[in-house]
Amino acid sequence: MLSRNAIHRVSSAARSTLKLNRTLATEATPSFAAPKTNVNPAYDEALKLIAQDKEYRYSMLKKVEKELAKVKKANNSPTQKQQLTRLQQLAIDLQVKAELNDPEVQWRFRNGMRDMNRPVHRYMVEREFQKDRKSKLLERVLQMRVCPDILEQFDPTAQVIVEYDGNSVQEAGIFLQPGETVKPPTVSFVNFHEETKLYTVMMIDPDVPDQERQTYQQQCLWLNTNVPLSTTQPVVSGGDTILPYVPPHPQKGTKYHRYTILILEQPSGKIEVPSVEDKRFDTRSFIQQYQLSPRGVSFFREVWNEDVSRIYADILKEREPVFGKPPKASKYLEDVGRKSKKYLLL
Amino acid sequence: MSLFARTGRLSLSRQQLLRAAAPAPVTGGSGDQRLEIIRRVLFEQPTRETPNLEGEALQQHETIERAWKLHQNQERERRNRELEKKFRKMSAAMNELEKTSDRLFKAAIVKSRHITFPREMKIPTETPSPQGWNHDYTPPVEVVPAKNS
Repeated sequence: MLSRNAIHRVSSAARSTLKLNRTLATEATPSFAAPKTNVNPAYDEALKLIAQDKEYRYSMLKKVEKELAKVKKANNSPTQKQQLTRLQQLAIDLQVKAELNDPEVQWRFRNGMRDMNRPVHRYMVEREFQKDRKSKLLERVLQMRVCPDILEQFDPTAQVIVEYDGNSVQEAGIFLQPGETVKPPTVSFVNFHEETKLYTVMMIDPDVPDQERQTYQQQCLWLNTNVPLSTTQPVVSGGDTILPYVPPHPQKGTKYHRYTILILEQPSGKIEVPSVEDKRFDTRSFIQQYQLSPRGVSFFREVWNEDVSRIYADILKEREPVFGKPPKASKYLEDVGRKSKKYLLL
Repeated sequence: MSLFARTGRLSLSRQQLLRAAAPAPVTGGSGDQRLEIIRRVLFEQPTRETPNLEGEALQQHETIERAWKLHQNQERERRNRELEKKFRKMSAAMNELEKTSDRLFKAAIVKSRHITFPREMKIPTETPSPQGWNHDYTPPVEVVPAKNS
């Protein structure tokens, strides 16, 4: 109970920081005020050095672009593709390193004004994820056993942001209330590729009890395929909805449920998925069947409360199941209520 | 008193000594202050005061740090480039030597077992003094201003 309270506290703190970020982004954008020069000689020298470096890198970039144009013209070269990719990488690297030391770029990044069109901001966001957020995400995913339970452990490449009305899953594994998650969330996958790629987005609940088999089953609560995403369009929208959103409904008498949102890339382009059964869903075989590669994960937890009964009655229109341990036969009293006999006449 | 003499010989930082000398908080029944002082001197590290930078000063500081890192990077790259150039020249020279004379080439790559690197050699520096070491250095004589009496 204590840990649960602690997590609630964490989540509220995360929410407040999110709000702060949002207000920063939506209010009249504060402009960058550079510190005055001719006060601190070290600062002046630093600015001079950074400007010099920037100029040098941009001159190099011009050369690389010329080379790129030349390579593009030469059609009959067998190594043209390799050369092109290498030169393009070099150009992006030069662009990033030219801008990275700029005080204004750093200031904008720190104040939440991140422009994913700029290679330097993309680089900084990626580095932030790799250095800071990824270890925390993996820690929670492994501690709460999302990874061996739903799919094998994988290396997430970018952050998945799940936002419900007024609530967001800032940290994977926080507790939400069933009443807060009735409407579908806004899911965004902060990726770093400029070209549009197709993804499959799904929400899995691996903790639904399976009474027949006396075990747990996975239920797919939301399944979208062929979702086009790029770095400037990170919000999940469009694509084919195979299973429409079903609000999370942790059954009465069960422990917490881990509602997991998975982002899977479709490396071979568009896929055709016929209708699938949401109950007894097998994520591993689904991934294998359609050759998907997992790229991002996030999850939140929920336990039963009165809202679940309402969800069952109004949205699912089913009788609500109630789970519990089987009743124990009393040692001392028979079913009738009389005390059992001590001796039997044989 | 003897304790302070000892700590002085241990050359602890002044801050630590001050902290140790501060009146110990009353803990428990056994009221021997020396124990508390010893514990502080032995186990407690003085906390370093970190400069609290804000706003413009922080921005300046970060810019300077970034520029310093950039400078170090540039220096390292320059040095690496120089070394690479030297290495290339050396290997080209050795190739040339191999073509011209087998005897000289073998002599160049054989290392003598008996000649070792001189330990006493001066450490090579990036910027050696143009004058070398001044063996006849004498400190300047302090000029005492004459008193007007």
